[in-house]
Amino acid sequence: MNDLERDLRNLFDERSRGIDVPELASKTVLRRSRRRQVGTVVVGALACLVAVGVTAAAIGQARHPAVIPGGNGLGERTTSIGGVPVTAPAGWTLVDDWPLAAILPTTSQTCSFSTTGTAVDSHGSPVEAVPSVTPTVGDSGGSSSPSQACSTANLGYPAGVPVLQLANFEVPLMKTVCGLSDQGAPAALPDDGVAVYVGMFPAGTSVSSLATSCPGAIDPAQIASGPMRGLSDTVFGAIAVAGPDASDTDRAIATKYVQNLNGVDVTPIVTPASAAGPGYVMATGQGGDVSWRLEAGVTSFDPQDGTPTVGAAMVTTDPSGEGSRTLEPPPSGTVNDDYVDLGAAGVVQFGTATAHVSGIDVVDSSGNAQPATILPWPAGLGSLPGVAGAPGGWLWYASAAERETVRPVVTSEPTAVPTPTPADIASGERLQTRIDPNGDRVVYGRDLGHDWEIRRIENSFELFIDGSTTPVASAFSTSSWGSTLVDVDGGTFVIGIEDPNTQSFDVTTDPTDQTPSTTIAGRWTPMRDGVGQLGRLWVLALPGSGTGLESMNHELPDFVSWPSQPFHDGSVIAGGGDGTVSWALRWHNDNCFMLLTLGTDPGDTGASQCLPAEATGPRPAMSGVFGSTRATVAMVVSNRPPTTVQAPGSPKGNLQCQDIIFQSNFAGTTICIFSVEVGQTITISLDQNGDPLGGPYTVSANPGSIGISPPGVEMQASPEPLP
Amino acid sequence: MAADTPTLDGRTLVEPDGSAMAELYTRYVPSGIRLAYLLTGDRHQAEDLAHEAFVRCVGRFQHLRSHAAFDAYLRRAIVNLHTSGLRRRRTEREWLRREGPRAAAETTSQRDVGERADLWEALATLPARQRAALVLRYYEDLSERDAAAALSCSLAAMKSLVARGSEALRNQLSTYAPEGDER
Repeated sequence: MNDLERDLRNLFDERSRGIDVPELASKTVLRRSRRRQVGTVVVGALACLVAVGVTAAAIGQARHPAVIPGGNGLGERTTSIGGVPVTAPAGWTLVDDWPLAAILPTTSQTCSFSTTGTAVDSHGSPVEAVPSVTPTVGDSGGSSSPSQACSTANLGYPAGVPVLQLANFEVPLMKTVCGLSDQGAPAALPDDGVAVYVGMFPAGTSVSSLATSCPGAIDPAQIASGPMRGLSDTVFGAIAVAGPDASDTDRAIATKYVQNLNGVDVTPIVTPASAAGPGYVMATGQGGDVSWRLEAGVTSFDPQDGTPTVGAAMVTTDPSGEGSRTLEPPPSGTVNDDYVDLGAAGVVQFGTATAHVSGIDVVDSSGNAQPATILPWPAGLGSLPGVAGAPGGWLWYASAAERETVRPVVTSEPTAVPTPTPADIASGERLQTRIDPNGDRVVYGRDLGHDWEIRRIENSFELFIDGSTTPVASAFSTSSWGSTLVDVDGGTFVIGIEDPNTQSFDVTTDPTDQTPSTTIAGRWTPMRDGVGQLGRLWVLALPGSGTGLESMNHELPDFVSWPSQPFHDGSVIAGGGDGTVSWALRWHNDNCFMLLTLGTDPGDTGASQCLPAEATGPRPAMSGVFGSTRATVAMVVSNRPPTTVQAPGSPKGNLQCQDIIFQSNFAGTTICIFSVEVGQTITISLDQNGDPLGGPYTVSANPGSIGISPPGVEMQASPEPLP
Repeated sequence: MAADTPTLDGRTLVEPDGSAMAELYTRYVPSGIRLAYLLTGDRHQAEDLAHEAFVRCVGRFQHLRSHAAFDAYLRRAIVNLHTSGLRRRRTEREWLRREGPRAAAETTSQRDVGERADLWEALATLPARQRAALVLRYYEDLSERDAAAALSCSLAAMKSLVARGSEALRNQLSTYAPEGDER
């Protein structure tokens, strides 16, 4: 260990021990977490409902499944689905139906309520007839004691809930050769088709029903069954079916598989993470204690109309459970890629590619290229309702020691610049894109006197200008929506990865003595963010220096200034808001920081005086904009020694604090911004090495003023709100 | 419920209830705040970062590949949120500070750490990913492979980040001789 490494370790250790951390969970954080969790569950539940609807719709469409002459080109695949082991012979189709187990209801509950009592008429007098009341022995009447009786019934899935299907033809997704309850007929069985169906049977249902619900059973008496551990009284059942012209070889394959399954104990992962819906198993593998399978299938459902999205899903299973990563076909460009880590066994890289890619190499740091296996999308994906045909292009995968660079082999150059559609033009000007010789998609343009390019490198986007090979801004995006400012000679770029529904993103400059106010509109192109979500990459070019308002979708704007450095009169050194009021802390000089607000209510728009810079004493100082419906307050408190500021009971985002460490009259202070609605109060507590600094303080808002209790806080009166 | 579903003191973590969530917080968030502080150098940002990461991880709890590895997911979320350079509009626009002539003299909000204050300030000048690489290696003590996973980069990129970060610190601080120069 060298001196630097040793000192870094010591420094990190000292610094991390020196910081005060909350030992108990903040209720606000827990509430947010719960909300987030509930939101996830709600979305999941919607998907379930939608999926059932889609299933019904799919079953309603009678399509003859495509028989693939000579098989589908896939190799032998061995995996476990719902805990059920399966090896698909080369050329056969293996369908992972296990996600359906998570989204199909299996039982219904009916409850009846009864009570005892004496019926009375409208005047309160007893009546003789007492219909619909169950007498209870020993009950003399007059008082009520309700009771409840519930019965649970299994829903009608004669063939159980599907787990997997193995067939020598392409079974349409969302269909099974044994049907799916009363929602539709079984998938048509080709004359030479052979299939094995495996389903899950909860308590109260019987595997023997397979004999009547699966047309073409090779031997209705031969039904394999075994327990599904971890699921109370649940078993799996399997049966083989065949068309009249099926070959003896294929019949034997199916029959043998069913025979081998009989009596096998299986332990499924109860919460399948395979994908949102079923998928075709395209490839399988094992590395260390991780097994993986690459599927082509349904990765999500539109929560509004239930339309499925198809894509690739890499499902992994290890001793801790099951996980999946999904990728959709690239909307443009050439390749999407992701990987799963197999520990000491290396990684499996996988992805999707557009049709003009003829091959894919993974290239290590020494330049050694290894070809990936590429597979066509199954045609059966196109049979899903709402899906206009199977995707063009490919899925691919490759094993490697570590995640390597992906290099597509392109046989023909795609269109350099997509032609904007009328809808594109209506929603904003499109950015130019091209595909470089490596097959990478490059966003480019010329603004602020510079030729610029934005390239995605691994999980980040990097901005290059004037042909430089060194980015001027690196890693400015990996996840979540947001934007950043990049200063260059001549101005500042605003670069944002935003929600795909973002229709406008612009900056309206503040007028100056020399220039009137102008609006600079952003341009965009479709782009995935660092975690693969499809969004829009927006670029705005702000010339010179200035201040203004940044607006998205014509919502309440944010304050903005550029360049980000050095500071100039009006520089925004902090900003925030809650959708009702936007605020910014503006630098005018080292002695004067001011708070600006912009409210949806004009009475809440205004500017404070210069904040009290001398508030380095034992008590905080407050100023702000005290509007007609809410007060936005700036509190300055000494940060020597460090002071903890909290607003118990206030929403998390309503208190934002920052230590000021750059040289100015505010150096060594913490400035906190919070808002209070008129008629309400907020409590601010301070802790400076155990000293509450005269607090906690209760701040109440009145139209045009605030009240602080206890007194002793230096407070500046608010000026009149700006018109 | 699968028999091998991870539990926290006997309670399932598939969908943590309120008390289990509080325990998750108590168990993992304090160390997350310390990590975030080393990444940001600012305790307020650190708390915000760790809390945001916690909220996101809990929100996606059902989808985590290994529930038992919550700390690893939290760490990865913190690092990703930090290195993104993006901030959610309205609530997370970062305060502009540091840089050039405005660099802080001695106004750090933390306690004095003596002769290593210069190293702390030099760290603040590193690009986010280089700083994160150093913190993951020398504070979290992660292997290069695990650190690469936490930073969502390749092993080679991880090695490069550590090397470039170390070199930048050596170039800034005369007390550290260049690599290979034994003292």
